Amino acid sequence: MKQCSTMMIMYKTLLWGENMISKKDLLKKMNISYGQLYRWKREELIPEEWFVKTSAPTGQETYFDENLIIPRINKILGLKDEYSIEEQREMFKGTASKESISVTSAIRLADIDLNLLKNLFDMKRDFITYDELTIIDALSVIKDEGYADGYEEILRIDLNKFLQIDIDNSWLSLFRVDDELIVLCHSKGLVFGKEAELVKTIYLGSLKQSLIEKLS
Amino acid sequence: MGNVNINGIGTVNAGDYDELTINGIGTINGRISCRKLTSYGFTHAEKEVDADEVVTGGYIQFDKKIRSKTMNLKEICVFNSDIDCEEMKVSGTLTVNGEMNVGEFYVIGSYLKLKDLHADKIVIEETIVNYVVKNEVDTIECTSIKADILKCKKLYARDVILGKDCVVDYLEYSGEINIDSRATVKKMVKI
Repeated sequence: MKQCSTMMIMYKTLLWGENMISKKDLLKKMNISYGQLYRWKREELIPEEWFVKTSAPTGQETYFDENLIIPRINKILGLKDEYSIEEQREMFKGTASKESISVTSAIRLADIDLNLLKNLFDMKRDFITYDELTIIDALSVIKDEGYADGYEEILRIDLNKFLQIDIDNSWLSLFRVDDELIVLCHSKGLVFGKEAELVKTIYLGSLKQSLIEKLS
Repeated sequence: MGNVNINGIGTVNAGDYDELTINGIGTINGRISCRKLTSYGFTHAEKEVDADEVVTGGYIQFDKKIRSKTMNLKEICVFNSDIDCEEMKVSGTLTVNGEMNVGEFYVIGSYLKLKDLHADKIVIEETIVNYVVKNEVDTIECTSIKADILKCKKLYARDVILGKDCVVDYLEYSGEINIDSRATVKKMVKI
């Protein structure tokens, strides 16, 4: 039995990371009932994407990212006497729109570098725009293709500056100048001198489109 | 937002409506939002439905998710997707192939065939209709349940009252429990 539970822990850790908590453990830890949890889901205070269902030896089980769900439940419990459901819903929705996706879904479905995401994006937000995700995905591609020597440089990027241009019609390019890697986000018609070598370029418009198709 | 009435055969397109009434054969072929949906004939909703109130009799089938504050379902209802509802009353045949997320769920003299039922409060009462068939649910997770003639594979709840002819394969509870001598619980765990 002990061996079985160790296997289960390993299995869950491999699949979801160490921060996943089962629904049963969550209810016990937060001292809330099934009814409360699912009421908050109906009221859109807890996003549907946070309920991660997986098959387990005992049947289907639902897990949550502990780092997201516990602060959220604490917030809901703290706000419930001061704010109406509508007000709370608006607070939690953030910038949710057709242009965005929940952060948990993005992590789960898009093949992005988590370290990059944590460094460049405000993880307190629940939703990430497709523009933001496109840039992070492009940077993940650059890193994955072996240009890791510029990784520290990438981690220092100010995402907001990159977002000022029209992502749908832009490229993200990696240049090497005197053994230093430089990342540029630009529209077409970029001119550079002989001393700069173009290492990699990604068209953000098509990348964004493929992300939307993949995630929506 | 206008009203739509179908008294013969008709189709409802996507849109926002105030009151939507179907007394004949109606097909809802687009995503709709309305204050009240009433159906007393044969209705088939192919897309998502958002309604404050749903009242049905006859036969109604929903293929996509439905969200509603109150639902009063009689006769035959088939849901092929998920349901979000604050208060649902059922007296007829209810089949749900998706996940049910209901605040208060009241069932009187019905035949249920459900997969996953999540609720705050569940009340399933017996009438003469239920002598032949049992209410079948795969998994129930709720705060409190009071049920007769229920056949359930897994029941997770805080407070449980199981009456006559209940058969539960696995019961997990954390609060109060009351099981009638005519009910069968194969395995029970208090947490």
